[in-house]
Amino acid sequence: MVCEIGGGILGYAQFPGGSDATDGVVIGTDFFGETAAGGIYGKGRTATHEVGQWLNLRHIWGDGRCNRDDFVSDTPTSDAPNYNCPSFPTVNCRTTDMTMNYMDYVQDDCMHMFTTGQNDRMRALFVAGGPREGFVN
Amino acid sequence: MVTGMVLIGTCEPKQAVNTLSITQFEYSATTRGSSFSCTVTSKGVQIASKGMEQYDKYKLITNQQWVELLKLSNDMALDRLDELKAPSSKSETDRSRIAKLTIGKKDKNFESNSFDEGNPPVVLRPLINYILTLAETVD
Repeated sequence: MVCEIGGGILGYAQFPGGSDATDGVVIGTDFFGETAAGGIYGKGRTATHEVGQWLNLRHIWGDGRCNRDDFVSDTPTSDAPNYNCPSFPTVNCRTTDMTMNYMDYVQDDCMHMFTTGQNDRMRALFVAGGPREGFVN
Repeated sequence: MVTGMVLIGTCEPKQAVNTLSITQFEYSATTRGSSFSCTVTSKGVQIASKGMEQYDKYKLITNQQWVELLKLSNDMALDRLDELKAPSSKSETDRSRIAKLTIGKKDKNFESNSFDEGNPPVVLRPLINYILTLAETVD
């Protein structure tokens, strides 16, 4: 759904397993696709990030301290989001953050990758018996 | 004279002992693409917003308002703010901005665990509500 969200929110999603009535992704009008109004968030990456969440990806910093995992083994441990376009290296929890990952909070043109582990976690939803199996049958 | 001084000492409200050295309160709410912060010192309140809405404004506060903030933080275990559990987790899916309260003393800052904007842990609610009330007075 694309609409005016407000409250400083660019978009949001729901993890698999939640209510069917709200299953999906919501993107603010200015941040859907390529738009001039979206500025540094006007290149469509909000949808990439939110669809990632809809496909079961957590934020890459795990939404908590160093011991909170994003349930993906090939992403580094971190305890904080990164904003705008961070310089390299940005270190949290004694490891270098993968700030260019779609599941961090950087601006659109500074994020450009999912890891293999994230890819596997997303694809696991579509296997037989998976929560989103219906989308491929 | 000496008696007088002792009396003044005894009459000092207990809350002053815990909160006397607080120099600053900061409330912030941040997500991808936007942020809001409100910083209050004994002199004034500064509010700043980045993203879709942009501003940076300042206003003086009264001594009474500052004392009210100290009172509201009096019963807080500052060194345990980072253990407070957030009552909701909407920021995990970007539905809410990530909020945080930081109370600064001269030599140390005490930062709360993060929580969803608009739904702080119960013990922080009165203080944050008052900070936001002060924020609303800034034109």
